[in-house]
Amino acid sequence: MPQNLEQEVKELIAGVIGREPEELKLETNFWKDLGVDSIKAIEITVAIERKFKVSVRDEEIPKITTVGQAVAVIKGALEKKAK
Amino acid sequence: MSEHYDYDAIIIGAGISGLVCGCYLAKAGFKTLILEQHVLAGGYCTSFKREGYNFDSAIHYFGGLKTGSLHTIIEELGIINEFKFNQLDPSDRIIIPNNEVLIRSNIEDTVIELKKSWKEESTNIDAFFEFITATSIATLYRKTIDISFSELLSNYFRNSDLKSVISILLHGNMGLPPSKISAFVAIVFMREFLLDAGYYPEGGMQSFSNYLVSKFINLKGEIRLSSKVTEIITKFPNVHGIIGEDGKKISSKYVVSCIDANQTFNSLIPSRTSEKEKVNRLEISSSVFIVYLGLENDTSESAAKCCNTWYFKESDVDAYHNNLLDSFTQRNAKGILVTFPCAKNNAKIKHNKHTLQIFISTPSINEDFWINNKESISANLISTAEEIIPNLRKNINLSFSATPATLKKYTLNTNGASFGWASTINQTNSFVFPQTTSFENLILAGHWVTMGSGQGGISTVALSGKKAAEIIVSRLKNN
Repeated sequence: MPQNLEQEVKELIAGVIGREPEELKLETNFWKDLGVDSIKAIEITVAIERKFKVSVRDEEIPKITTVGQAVAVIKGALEKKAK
Repeated sequence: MSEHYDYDAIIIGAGISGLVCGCYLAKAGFKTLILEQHVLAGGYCTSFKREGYNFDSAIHYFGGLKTGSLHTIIEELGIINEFKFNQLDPSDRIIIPNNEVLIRSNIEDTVIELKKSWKEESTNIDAFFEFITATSIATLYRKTIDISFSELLSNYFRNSDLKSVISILLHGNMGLPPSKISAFVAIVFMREFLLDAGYYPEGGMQSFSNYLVSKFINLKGEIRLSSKVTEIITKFPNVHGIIGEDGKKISSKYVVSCIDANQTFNSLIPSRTSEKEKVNRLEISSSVFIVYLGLENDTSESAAKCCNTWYFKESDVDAYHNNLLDSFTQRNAKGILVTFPCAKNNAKIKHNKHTLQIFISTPSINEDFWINNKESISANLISTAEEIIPNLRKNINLSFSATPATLKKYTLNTNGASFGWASTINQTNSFVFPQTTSFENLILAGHWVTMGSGQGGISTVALSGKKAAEIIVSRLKNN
């Protein structure tokens, strides 16, 4: 598991949506507060998949609406991969 | 920010993105003003009359009214039951050396047409269309965002003419050859234009824009034409409204800029922004040269074959694109679109009021070139069109043309760019030029934002207008 997963995820997502990492709190909702739409959600998900070398199921994509949820999905995927 | 504002939102530019944005904001109950520098609303979706002939300025059809984002928008705004679109079938006819193919209004019939010409590729044609239509957008994105459309076509097809036919349609509607465009963008385009293609607003393009204007006014929106904005009032990190050509200030909680990005960040906002640096660096899309012809006699016979005919003498679309300059300097047009606006309406047109338009993509070239060579380029394009429309020249009553400089004059798009930012592989992601800006309450829409799925086309700009409104509505409701 990466040491500072939360910070890495913040930096990654901020890059994809063109914001500064400091603007993103754990509970910031990208869909509501940052104008993320379905294509952006896919861009975020694929960026996560590529960085952390995990795969996210299509039906999980709409569930990733905050940094906290993204971290949870990545943790789950990494644990599954480790088994 | 002060307490009182003249408007909740000011929208600069009454192109389709601005009008759609305005309708959504007004529908949500927000006091909205649209300002347009031109005398007409619509941007590239306008029409005009000359000597009794009706012409469309630039856009020649829409796609995706039964499904997809444009469908959702016309349904949500209640347009679907109030405004009539004609669906052209076939939507496109593509002529290349040694072959001619029809693109039908639905994918099943298009597949049949393609198989007629390329029987040996039947299995590949099925596999290709199965992939682009039945795969989830997320999976398509994963598999195709990093590869060019050429690579994708080569993964499925062997026949170069078949690859050309699909690429010609894409080049005409996005201005890029298959090697430069991302396969994902091409697929999104095809899902719209091959699944459900060839729509034309009854009465012409202007009638659709005018309909949106009346919709907006009915929703208590306010629009001012011939009203150029000269400055967006800024005090970082906020904008506070605009200054018009008359020097008057109008304040607003939000500004939505739906115009050329160069205008927004180099002319209207004097201060240095991160966007200004990007504007000067990013690649812009190509423009078009258009010949408008008013005809003496009925053209129903030619138009009946298809209202939109792509006539390409060079079937390698990458070679065509790379040598586009020769089409102009050597007066040897290698690929044109011939379109009959008059034949797209249900209303009967007087036999001596038929119209025809010829389009060709243009390379980036000095404006003086167009001024000095307009007439001879126009004559060459008419000669080329005559190769597929016999006796065309004898039938012309009125002839004039628009160069990229003309498009720039009426829309202020840099170099008369047809599709905003070029939809190249590197300029596809939505973060390249997003709708949100370094100013908290300045939002962008139109084809100068990257939406993640390619720029240009009515669906994309309409979607950007809707999304701009959603961002503002969600923030205003939370405050």
